[in-house]
Amino acid sequence: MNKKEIKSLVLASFKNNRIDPEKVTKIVSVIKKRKIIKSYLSELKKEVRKRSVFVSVPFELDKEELVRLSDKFPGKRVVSEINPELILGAKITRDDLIYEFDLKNTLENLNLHIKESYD
Amino acid sequence: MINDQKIIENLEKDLMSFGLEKKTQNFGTIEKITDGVISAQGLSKAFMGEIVKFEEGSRGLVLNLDEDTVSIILLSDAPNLKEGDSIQTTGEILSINASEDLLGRVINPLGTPLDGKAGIKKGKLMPLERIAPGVVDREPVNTPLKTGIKAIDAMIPIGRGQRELIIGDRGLGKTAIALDTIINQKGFFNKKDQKEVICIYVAIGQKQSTIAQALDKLSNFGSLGYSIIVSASASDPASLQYLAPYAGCAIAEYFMEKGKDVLIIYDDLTKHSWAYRQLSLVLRRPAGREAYPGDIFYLHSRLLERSVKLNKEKGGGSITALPIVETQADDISAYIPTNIISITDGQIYLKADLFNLGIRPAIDVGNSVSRVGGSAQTPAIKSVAGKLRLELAQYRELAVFAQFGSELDAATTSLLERGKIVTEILKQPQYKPLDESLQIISIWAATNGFLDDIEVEKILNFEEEYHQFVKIHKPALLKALGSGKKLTEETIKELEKVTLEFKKIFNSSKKSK
Repeated sequence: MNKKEIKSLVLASFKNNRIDPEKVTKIVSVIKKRKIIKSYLSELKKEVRKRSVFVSVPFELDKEELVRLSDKFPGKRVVSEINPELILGAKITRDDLIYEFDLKNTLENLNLHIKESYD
Repeated sequence: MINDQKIIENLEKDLMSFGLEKKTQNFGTIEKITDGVISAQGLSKAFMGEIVKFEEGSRGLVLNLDEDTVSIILLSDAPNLKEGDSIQTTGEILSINASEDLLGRVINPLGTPLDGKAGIKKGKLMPLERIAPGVVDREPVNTPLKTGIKAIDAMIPIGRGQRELIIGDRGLGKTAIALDTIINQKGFFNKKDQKEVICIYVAIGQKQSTIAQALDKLSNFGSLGYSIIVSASASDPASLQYLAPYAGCAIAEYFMEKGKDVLIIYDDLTKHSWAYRQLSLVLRRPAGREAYPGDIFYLHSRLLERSVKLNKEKGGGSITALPIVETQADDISAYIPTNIISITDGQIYLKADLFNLGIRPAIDVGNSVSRVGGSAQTPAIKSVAGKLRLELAQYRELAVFAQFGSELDAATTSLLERGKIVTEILKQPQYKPLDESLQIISIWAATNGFLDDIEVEKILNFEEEYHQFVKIHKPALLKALGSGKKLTEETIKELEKVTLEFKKIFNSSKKSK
């Protein structure tokens, strides 16, 4: 099975932009080779990451804020998680890009800047 | 001097300017680790030659950008890396911290000290990969770089800004020539009329014991103070061995931009080619001749093109490169040697036959050349060395006939005898580089027949004692010869007088023994 075929299996594993567990189970049971299953799962994870945007915030977002975020990323599923370490602000992960505008990151940058500038 | 108040003021200024700015990072995950090369997913914004940082703190260099993956080489040992670990781009290209603090130090290609001394203070970050200065920024090579080795300074002169290859089989004295050249530069420090030369010795794939020996010798001869050793030994990863020459060149460029003259020795580029071949094969790049990748020529051409003589508008600094290449069975027509011969401005070819005959340095004058030539010689040594090459060439041709044992005429016999004497005078022990004035004395005496009546076996002994004699009794003559100006009639007469005077002393002391 080549990469193209694995990719088409991955695309077929989704329903309404979410993974369909039944389809995934069926596909995995049909594929006998461990190497191909591994490739399929890896591609599946990549596809999930592609279709989703992960938002880390220090407190829980209300429905209105979630809708506003979804409008900013049309066609993608917004997944929010609480991370109190961020102190203030948010950290958004989309595909392989991380957008950080939280106070923890600012303080870390400041620390690094002081270390580098003042020996 | 910065006081505490100033530091607090700067800190407050920095704090005020720090806002909630968005920081964008590109990340990926490790998919595979094979032989020091990491295959990563993601990293869609990574560029070629970018530094990436792993989750556990180690760093890597992006070397391949494939459709779905990015290949990264590790810059240090990272035994805790595993599949699934995250990687972040840094947006930086590989650079080395260069400053005057590097003088006298031993560092690795990443700038980390290896000599156990204090850390190196922050200087200027010099990129390892850089485009060579353009044609307009350069000027012709016109200043000699004196190696202190008679055979080289007389017949294969090297100029500041030149690339001169040292090529030969293992154990023939290639590194010895390089080290003698570094040691000889000591004489140019604190001299008003001579520009100092900073020396960088890049050890690529060498045994650590060999590097330690070189360090020891440079230290013993007081040469470490103006030298830097960049070490990527045989036990270091191929990535560091690949980067070592570029790191050395980056440091050399730092000093060159300040108007200084720099000598850089790459010991050796054969091992550098092997390290690059290893990396390329693991990166699955297509293999060409002798399994080297297709860009093996470019690997060295872009390195050696950065050795230049800058014009006065650009500061007048220079980088002189002495790359070393090891051949197998005297074969200079192999792939890597021919590549580098075509890049450099000449070669010093060492032959095993000459070495075994006791002719050391074992330089094959016939096959060695300096394409810069007389422009890199002072008028003084040029006038004296002019006959030398011709006499040696005639000797080599006639020596073949002499082997047949046939009777030879007086002129031929005299040429053969002169050739033997000249060959003997060009021998030189290791770690004893000579000042130009002493070289002129020796070569002049040999080429003008003053040594014809001295036994060949005693020539070197004669030379040593003659040098001592002139240093003690005729310092003015040495000073006149060391000025670099063409020999005047007066100087030549003085030379004749001194040579004859010493010969009497030498012969009489020989008789009394």
